[in-house]
Amino acid sequence: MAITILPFGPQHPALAEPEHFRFKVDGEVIVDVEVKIGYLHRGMEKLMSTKTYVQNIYMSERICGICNVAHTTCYVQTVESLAGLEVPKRAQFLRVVVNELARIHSHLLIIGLAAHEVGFETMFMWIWRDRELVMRLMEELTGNRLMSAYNTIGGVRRDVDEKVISALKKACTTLRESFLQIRKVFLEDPLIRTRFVNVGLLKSRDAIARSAVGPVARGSGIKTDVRADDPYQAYKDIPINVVTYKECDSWARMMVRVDEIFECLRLIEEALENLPSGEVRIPVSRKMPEGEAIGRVEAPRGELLYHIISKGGEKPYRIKIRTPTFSNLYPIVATFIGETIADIPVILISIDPCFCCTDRMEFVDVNSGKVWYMSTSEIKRKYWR
Amino acid sequence: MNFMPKILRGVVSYVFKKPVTKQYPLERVEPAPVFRGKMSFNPDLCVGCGMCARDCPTGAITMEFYPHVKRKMPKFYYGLCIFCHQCVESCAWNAIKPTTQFELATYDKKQLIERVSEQEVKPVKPRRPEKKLFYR
Ligand code: SF4
Ligand code: SF4
Repeated sequence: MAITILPFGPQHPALAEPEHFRFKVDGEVIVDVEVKIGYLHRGMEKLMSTKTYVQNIYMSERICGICNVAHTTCYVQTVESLAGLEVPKRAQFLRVVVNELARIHSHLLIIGLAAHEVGFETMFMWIWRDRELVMRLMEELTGNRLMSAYNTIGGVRRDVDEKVISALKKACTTLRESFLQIRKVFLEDPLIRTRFVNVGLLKSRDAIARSAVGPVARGSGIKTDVRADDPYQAYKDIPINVVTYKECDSWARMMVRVDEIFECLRLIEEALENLPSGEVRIPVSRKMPEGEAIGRVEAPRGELLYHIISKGGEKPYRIKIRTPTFSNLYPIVATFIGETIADIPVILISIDPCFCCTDRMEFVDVNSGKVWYMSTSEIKRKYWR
Repeated sequence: MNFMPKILRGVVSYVFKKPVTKQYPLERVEPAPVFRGKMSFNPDLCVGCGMCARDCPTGAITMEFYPHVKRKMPKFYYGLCIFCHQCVESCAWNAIKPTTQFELATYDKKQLIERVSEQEVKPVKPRRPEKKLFYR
């Protein structure tokens, strides 16, 4: 049979994130896949070097809405190491609390979407009901449901009081109970198992060779987690258990996320239990010294890396961001080959794709497939004031 | 499949509960007291230093010159504002205060511009309050 090219996305009902894939199919079976990233290119990196360090906190937050806390944590951490600042202990613990809360939110979102993708609508509604609880807590803690604006250079912007702490602890208990139920469904339900088990196999060897990160790598049995390998903030004081699954399929990747939620709840409880007293923030200078710094954090989707070059002054010279989906796209592309068209959404969902983080570099005309490059002055003339 | 009875029990219990949807304009839902909403600006305290406009990440604040008092005052455009409250933090004179007001939807963009009129700006110089600043 002749090979057909099946264009998939950027706007596609089965895909929550806009990205263009070109599947070469032989009947129902995928034989090759091409990924064209760049549909959501917004020029964030360039824009960040035109703004001050203070303004960039809010810029980095808007690279990705769902992992906004991970992005700001990574950004402020990098700037702090550039300036050689020591953040107060209480702020470090609060950063762990808000990071883990955001991780629960992100994992609940993708687990819910996975259930939705296979047609298990009841489950989707149940999970999103719990997610609403997490978002309310986020609002009470940070001042907004999603865009937290909580981290700042030198600490966090708000302190917690007893009321919020007790609300957080209570919610942890409620969430744990309802999540034991959901975990059971993921372990046993025939609908989930038929759609996820043995779909999109990514062997440990391939995962390492193609540099998978985060839950994708952990689902292939690789014990990698920045929180454990290179502890930042208060993760030095609260050790974490890395969840891994040996099955290497889409189901294992989802189960890593399900089990990680329990780990997140434990981390929140422990951080609140051992919350040190004192300042949450130190005064910092608007001007940063000359130098370079690298920061890594474990975002909900994997390792996130910021590299900042400063030539002194108020604005960074260059900020480079490497996001987890960018690393995870290449390992996952290999797993499509040999699967059927109906499995595409499931495999894509299992890496928890976030293309708004990924698309920051290429100029690709998606319609004609033409790739071109522009000089900085051209970009400036065309896109910037 | 031993979780099915529990799911069914949950489904049945929701039949007898009140709907979670609120009839919004009739039934108000208040945000958390720490919610970041619209800012309120007090022209009597402002000295026109421009720190708010300098730190605003989106350019929602522009400084406007008032000739009769010979100083500048911020003009807010809420169409650009992302409600990060960096301006609240940056103002050393406590002229910008946070509120939890969130109902800003409008048909006319011009209503989102908040600018103090000439009469409201008085030539008195305010006194610097005690406020700890974190960005120097
Ligand atoms: S509002 Fe505050 S920061 Fe802005 S110009 Fe007035 S005094 Fe300065
Ligand atoms: S809240 Fe943020 S975006 Fe809005 S005016 Fe203040 S600094 Fe600018």
